[in-house]
Amino acid sequence: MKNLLTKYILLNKKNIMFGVLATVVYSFISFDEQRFYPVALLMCPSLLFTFVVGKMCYMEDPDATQQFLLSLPITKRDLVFEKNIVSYLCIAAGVAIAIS
Amino acid sequence: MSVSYQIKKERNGKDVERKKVLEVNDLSKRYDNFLLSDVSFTLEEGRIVGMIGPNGAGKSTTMKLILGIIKPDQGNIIFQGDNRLFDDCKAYKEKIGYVGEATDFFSKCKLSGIKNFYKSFYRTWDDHYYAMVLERLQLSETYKMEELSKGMRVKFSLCLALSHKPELLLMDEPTSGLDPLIRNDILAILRDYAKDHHASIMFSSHITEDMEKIADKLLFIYKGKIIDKRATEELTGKGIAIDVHLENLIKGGERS
Repeated sequence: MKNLLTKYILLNKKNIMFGVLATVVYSFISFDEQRFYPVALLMCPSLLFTFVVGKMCYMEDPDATQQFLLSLPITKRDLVFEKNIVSYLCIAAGVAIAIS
Repeated sequence: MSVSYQIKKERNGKDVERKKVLEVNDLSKRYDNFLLSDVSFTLEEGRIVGMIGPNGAGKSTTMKLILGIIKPDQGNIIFQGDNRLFDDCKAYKEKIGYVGEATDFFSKCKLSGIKNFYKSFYRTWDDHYYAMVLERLQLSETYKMEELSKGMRVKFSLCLALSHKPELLLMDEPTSGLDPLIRNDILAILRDYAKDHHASIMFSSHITEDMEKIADKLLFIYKGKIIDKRATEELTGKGIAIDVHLENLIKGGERS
């Protein structure tokens, strides 16, 4: 599982940086006025999720990539579990950025 | 764990005891419009087996079943004496290298990143061997996958698959669509790897020249069934072309 998580650092580093940057920028803009606070709480996790998990799903979508991943010593269940973990982490990080 | 052996007569006429690496028994898989049935064969240590058959004959399905990507409806796969269908597939897959037909995986990523990700899964990964094969195949890690030609992508996939020193290498039509020079490079590497590491290689191809060059044994597959198994020498020794033999088998089967 740890190996699967390194995939994000090794192959999706740029999008993680863009995701964090977009989330931080959005949280600053929306905090100008208190009325945007609920929007920020919704948008920050969504942005981070899109850049990190969404992009990885897009990268893994082609048949060639799926075959490559399934030929590694992992199971389909590991791949699904890894996506769940990263999704929860993105939501938690997005909320943390929004409220900080 | 029981490892079985087979006595084989080698090309020089001597009897050699060879360990059975893979034993596939009565493997079957049903799809809506295709049935792979009763596929059985054995693969011995250090041998190269070529699987030949027309498109849609069941070559890729057999490879995927062996690799555990899809589950069979019946039959068993015995790898080094253990039935792998009931075991932890991770330990099994660590000993297998795979080069698929489609090699444009993670197309936007650099080769170095893909290599680092891939190597993290294998305890037996050998960086020196990887660098050596990479140099032999004249590849550079600075490229992105999408910047490589098809031949270079196959070379890179082969480089990855060999660098964790697999005991069994499965290759699904690795040389299709490649020019003769690249094909020869790849075949030379496969031959050397099987000889130096006593590894078994199973590869499927439409290109009968490749089979003649490196395969010790041939499996002819048609409409989901193994229709013939024989040593390559049996055909080449009699001057029978592999494609002609396959054609005769198919025509003979359709007549009967």
